[in-house]
Amino acid sequence: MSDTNTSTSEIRERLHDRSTPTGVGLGLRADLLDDAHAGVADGRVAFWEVSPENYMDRGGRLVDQFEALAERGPIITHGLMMSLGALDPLDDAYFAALRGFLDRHGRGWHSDHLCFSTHEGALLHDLLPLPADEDTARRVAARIREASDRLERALAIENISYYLPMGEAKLSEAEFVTCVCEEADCGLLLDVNNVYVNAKNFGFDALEMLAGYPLDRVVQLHVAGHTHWPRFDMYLDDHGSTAEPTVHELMQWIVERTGPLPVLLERDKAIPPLAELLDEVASLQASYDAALARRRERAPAAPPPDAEVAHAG
Amino acid sequence: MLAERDAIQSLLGQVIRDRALREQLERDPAAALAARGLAEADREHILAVGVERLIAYHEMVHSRLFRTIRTFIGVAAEHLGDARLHADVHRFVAERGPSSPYLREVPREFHRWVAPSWDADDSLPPWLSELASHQILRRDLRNDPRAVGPALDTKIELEAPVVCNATARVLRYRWAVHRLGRRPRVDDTPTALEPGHAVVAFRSPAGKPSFLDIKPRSAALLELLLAGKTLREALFGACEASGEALDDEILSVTAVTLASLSEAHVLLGGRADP
Repeated sequence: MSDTNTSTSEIRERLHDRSTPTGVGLGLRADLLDDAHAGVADGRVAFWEVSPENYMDRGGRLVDQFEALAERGPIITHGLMMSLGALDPLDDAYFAALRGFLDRHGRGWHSDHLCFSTHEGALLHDLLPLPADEDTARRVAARIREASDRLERALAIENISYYLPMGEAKLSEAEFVTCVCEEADCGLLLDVNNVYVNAKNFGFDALEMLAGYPLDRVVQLHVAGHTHWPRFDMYLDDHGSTAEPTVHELMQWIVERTGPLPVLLERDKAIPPLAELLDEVASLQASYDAALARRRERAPAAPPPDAEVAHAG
Repeated sequence: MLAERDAIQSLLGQVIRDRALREQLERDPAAALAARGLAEADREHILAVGVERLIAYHEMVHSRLFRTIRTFIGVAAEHLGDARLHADVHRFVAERGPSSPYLREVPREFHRWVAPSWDADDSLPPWLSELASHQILRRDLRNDPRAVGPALDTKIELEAPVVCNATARVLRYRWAVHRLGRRPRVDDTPTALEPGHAVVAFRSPAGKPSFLDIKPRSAALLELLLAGKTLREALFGACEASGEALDDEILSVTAVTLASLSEAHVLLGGRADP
């Protein structure tokens, strides 16, 4: 792996700007749109995260509500269907539509997943894992650079949960993600729940693995809940429950090291009423604020200003 | 080395799509993996965790696609039965697979692919395919990316095209599936329609999928107006299609039709600059 020493937050400095929201946001889902549009969440979420695929090439009431919401507050875009790791070429029509959407609603970066979703032209609508080795990392990094060029926008990739090893792993997940990010020179959307789910499924220490991730490239975090699937005896990153305290702690560990970030709470299944979800947002925000406070306490004291009068003798 | 890695990715895709391969894996995992060209070390790592994890991915993908399709075709799914729908979805994924990056378009892709087999199957109700298509259409109309547009002050003129609701379309239904309402019950069955019966489908200004019955000559007129023809061209075209000569009665009926379609927000007004 490269030992290129980027400055501590070069990527964040490049991708973030004054308008980048920090603190806890919520994933915008169709179930929440009516309440969100009515202002139930106003002032209670730092941003809404949206998947462009839910609004691209689409019209009607749902899009009207989204457009109105986008006028009122910060939006961060996070895609689903780039299939960056696929063996098929990138989809021209999809990228053209995505480019149009991002030109209207995008900010310093757009993100999608480090995965593949296509097989011989068929789109499987899932986030499928990649073999963890340097050859695959270089191949995928080239596609990330191509995707970034097509969109004329910086990209961040998200680490995914995976449920089987794609053969013999030559690299750990952290090493693989680091290799891809450095080759592609892209940002990282670090999903701490995914690291935790993978740790539970494969028996490694989540915090040790997190420490191997390129924290200098983190531009955003995801936090979510997960459930156990008894039929296959594995933990599933289904975003269908409240995030566990351990996931809060992992988020805090990152934020203490990176400083302020946008942190998204994901909920895609068994979605409670927005008012209830906002309580979870508040709880996560409290954890986030505590982490920032600890970071400030640990920061070296600022040097005193130069004295105008010096004691003599 | 890269080819070996590609083989692993390809394996996962194949297991998800090919039910027969999934069954081979369940019967004899080691042999099924060996037959796929994977390196021994790769096979060992997959077998150590268990091929159940490959099958879990098959389940996850099919589950999501099945649920989406089932939701969109609504009550048609209850008439079909889950077992048959699962089997058809499996065949669709194996033989064709979704091509749209939008999950909301997969049910329409599925229906286009499966409709001939449903229509040819005497064990299924003859209206099933049309009912499923209509249920999907309701969502298509809500999601149509074209703007409905406001009603205009400009009059409809004979020598000019008419501004139309961009979401409007004319359909030829054999069964009155559009009269069953938004959420038909399983014991609601559509009645047969006269051959050539037409239905106008569109999204209302309030965002609701809307349907109007329309007689054949008026349907032909509307289709021509939607295609951008002038009113004169549409009038004569509709008469030609119905084998009639344009007369005062047809003109009178057409005036009423235009007024009705305007009131329904299918026609929006005259075009300012033809």
